[in-house]
Amino acid sequence: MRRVLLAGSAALALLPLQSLARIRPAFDARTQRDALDALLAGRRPEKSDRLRIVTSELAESGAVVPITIESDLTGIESVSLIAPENPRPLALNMRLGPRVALPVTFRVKLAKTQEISVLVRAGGQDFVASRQVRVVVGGCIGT
Amino acid sequence: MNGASIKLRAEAGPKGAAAVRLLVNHPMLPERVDAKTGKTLPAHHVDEIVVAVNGETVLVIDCGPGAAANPFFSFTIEGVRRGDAIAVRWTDNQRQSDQLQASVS
Repeated sequence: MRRVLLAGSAALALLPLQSLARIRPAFDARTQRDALDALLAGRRPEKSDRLRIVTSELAESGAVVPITIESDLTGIESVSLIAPENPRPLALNMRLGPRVALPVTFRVKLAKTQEISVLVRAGGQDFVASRQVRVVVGGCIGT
Repeated sequence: MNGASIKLRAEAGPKGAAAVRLLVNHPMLPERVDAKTGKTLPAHHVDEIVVAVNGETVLVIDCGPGAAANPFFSFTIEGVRRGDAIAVRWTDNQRQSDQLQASVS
């Protein structure tokens, strides 16, 4: 009986991170709209000023652009970074368990100057914030 | 690869949260056209990075070719004490993988 209970609790602990099984197709999308459709499945994100993209306004090299996402929203389950002018707009997606809190920092490639967006799912709602990044030399990011 | 491709530092802070810095050595190549031959070269990039503390998955990072070469991340994990085991495993789209386990310091 004890063993059954332990197995059950372990499965529950992993469930929130596995529930977003539809992530991979979003990475194949070639437009921002297709990437958002794949991520949101028809839901509408709300623009939020409780969500911030922290990065340099001017990126000398598009090959490595450091980005920090800050937010005071609680219960954040996922963070997705979308660069609409990249050949594959969805650059990165993070599935957060309840023990991981923002801010998070990562580095992406940007093909050219563009308005990047961060999409966050928190407490069953979707939020989005955007920010313009000027790129001097675009990152080599393929076709 | 015995964890050689992964650099991982996790430091426990005063409030029971650990600051984690993670670097994966990987070229993160997109699908691209070879300038000399005109041939299309296949993408080679990390697909997924899983972070676990004491065996419990706490974070999954999905990457596309738009993640920069040698992906770097920093984030905070709550409810972590010095000596806890933190493990990182990555897999890429050519089915290569590597993993590393470290102790929170």
